[in-house]
Amino acid sequence: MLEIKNLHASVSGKKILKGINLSVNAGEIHAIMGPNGAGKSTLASVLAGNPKFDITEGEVIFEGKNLLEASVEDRARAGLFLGFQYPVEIPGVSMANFMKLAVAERRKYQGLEPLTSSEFLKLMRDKSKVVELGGKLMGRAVNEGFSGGEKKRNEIFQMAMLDPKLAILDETDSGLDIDALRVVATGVTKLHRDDNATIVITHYQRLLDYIVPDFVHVLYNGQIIYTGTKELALKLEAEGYDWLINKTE
Amino acid sequence: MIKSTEDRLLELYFANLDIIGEGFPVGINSKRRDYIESFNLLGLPSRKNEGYRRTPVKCLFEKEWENYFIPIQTSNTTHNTESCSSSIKVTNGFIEDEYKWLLMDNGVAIGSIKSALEHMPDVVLEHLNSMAKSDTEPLTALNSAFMQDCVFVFIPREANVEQPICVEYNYSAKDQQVMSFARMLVVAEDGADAKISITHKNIDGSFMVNFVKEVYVGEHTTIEITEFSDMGENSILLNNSYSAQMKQSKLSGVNIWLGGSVTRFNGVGSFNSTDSENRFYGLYVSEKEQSFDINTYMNHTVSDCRSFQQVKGIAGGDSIGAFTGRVYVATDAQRSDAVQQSKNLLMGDDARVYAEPQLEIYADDVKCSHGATVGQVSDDSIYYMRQRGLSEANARKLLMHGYINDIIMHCSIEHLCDEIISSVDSIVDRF
Repeated sequence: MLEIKNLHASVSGKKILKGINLSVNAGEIHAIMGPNGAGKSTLASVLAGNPKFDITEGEVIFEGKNLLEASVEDRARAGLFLGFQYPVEIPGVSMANFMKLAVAERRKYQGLEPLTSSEFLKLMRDKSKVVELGGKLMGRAVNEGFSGGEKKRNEIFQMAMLDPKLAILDETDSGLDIDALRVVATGVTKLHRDDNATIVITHYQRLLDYIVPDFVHVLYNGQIIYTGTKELALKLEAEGYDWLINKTE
Repeated sequence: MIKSTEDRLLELYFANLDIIGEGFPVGINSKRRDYIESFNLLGLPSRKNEGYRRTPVKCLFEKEWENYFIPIQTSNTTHNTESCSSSIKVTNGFIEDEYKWLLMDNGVAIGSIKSALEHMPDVVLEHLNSMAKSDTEPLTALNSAFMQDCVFVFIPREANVEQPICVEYNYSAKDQQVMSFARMLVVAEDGADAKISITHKNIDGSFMVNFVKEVYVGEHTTIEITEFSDMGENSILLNNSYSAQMKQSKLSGVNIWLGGSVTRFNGVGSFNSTDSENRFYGLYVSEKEQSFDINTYMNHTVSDCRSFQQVKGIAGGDSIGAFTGRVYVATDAQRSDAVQQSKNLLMGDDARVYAEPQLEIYADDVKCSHGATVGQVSDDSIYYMRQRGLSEANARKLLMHGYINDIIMHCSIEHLCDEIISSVDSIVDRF
């Protein structure tokens, strides 16, 4: 589904990613861990197409197509979803309006008929249950006045609405209390199928108690220095990253 | 010797004194002398006058504007009365014959001031010119002197009017350049509750409209006014609005300014008695070389009143947007609660925005805040929306729609809100 080959990226001249190689197949859940400043969020941004970053080398194939040539919106329409670490507030734009446009674009790409109003409302109702998000949030402006937990749940709600092929969740667990973490993680698990894939970027092992990954990658200094199974996360939690970093250096 | 613009206006006034005062009682006509004298003393403001730095009114009057002292109408104008409880149509400042006096079953009356002077002279004489500041504001003084007709809206004690009262000002003069002194007086008695819709539309011709509106809000009264101006390319709208609020009253105003070459709004709100609330929402969307100069003055002279002002603007093209707001809190106005916000989006490379929120506080137990922002559409928001599949153009449009919606959502007169939204959208689509 996703093939990253020797990906290099920089932001205002500073090299952040220095040769990432990663392949993700349908049905898999990958976790990316690593110390602060390793390049985890940059990887997510680069895959989503954030214009702030420059790609200096490498290629990314998503569903058989060159991802790096596509615009941000075309990547999204093709089924790449990014759960933001800091979801943006959009005053005056209701969740319902925003999602209506987003879902319409995604369906158009998939060659599906646009939803009728009642079908759309039903979809909103059904999907908001995935993350136990109250109906009243739907009438409110996107993320405006939402608590930290609500914002993150709202990201997963949008993911449910758009039914992506590949979801990249950038530190979705940061700033969440235990209950919110459970709700968000359970939501992600519910959405997981054999024909989609998820990349979870996280600092902490506790998220992986709920979202069980097939692979855990350690990103350090712009490269993936180690790949293991879910047990690796436990070892990292107990021992930190130093033993791995020392081993590589 | 070349005559000054003021002299020309004074001459115009004295030459037409008879026709201007026709049909008005001596009590009103005798005061005109004070107003024209006051205008003569104050003169037309230029850029040198602090409050008029963004709108050099003197220059605007220098153009050869025709002044008609008899009603003219060169084009037929439509009149949308649907969903209005009562309505009135005004062309070039004159109320059309069929709307001279309408009295509803609930006692609500709407019509021309001249008819009102026959039916309820006491009410008219008590309130007309009682709020308008003709002694300090030259434009208001000029209107008060030249006033030939005036829309009068009367909402009697305890009347509850659910459907809006609609007042349509149309300006039509084919290809002529015309000066118009339109006017309005609203008297809402104690315990009344009503919504009023006011529109200013330029059908054709170029206009210099010097408009004055006075709104009296009685005790325990709730009034909501939505005022929408959409003037033609070469027209000027000078809107001078005054309100006075009695005890425990609520006045809420939604003001949308579009079109025209120059729009100046001067809104003065006064609390005459305690425990009242004034909410003011404003929006201008400017393009090309338009100029919008929005001025508000909130007068907290008594204690325990609340005022909330939010004015937003989008400036595109080479246009100018300006907001100057003043919240005045007198020594005795303890426990005043005032908020004043000006938010502006700069959409054109050569557009300019000036924001000057001001507080003048003499009481020591108050809660006042003010703020102003000038910025551009956030790149982070655009990126976020594109990541959900929206094109950049659609994301931008939706963002601006959201920005505007913050103000328009306070309009509770459905048919007018729809009209406003479609007018605003058509401008925003061009950015």
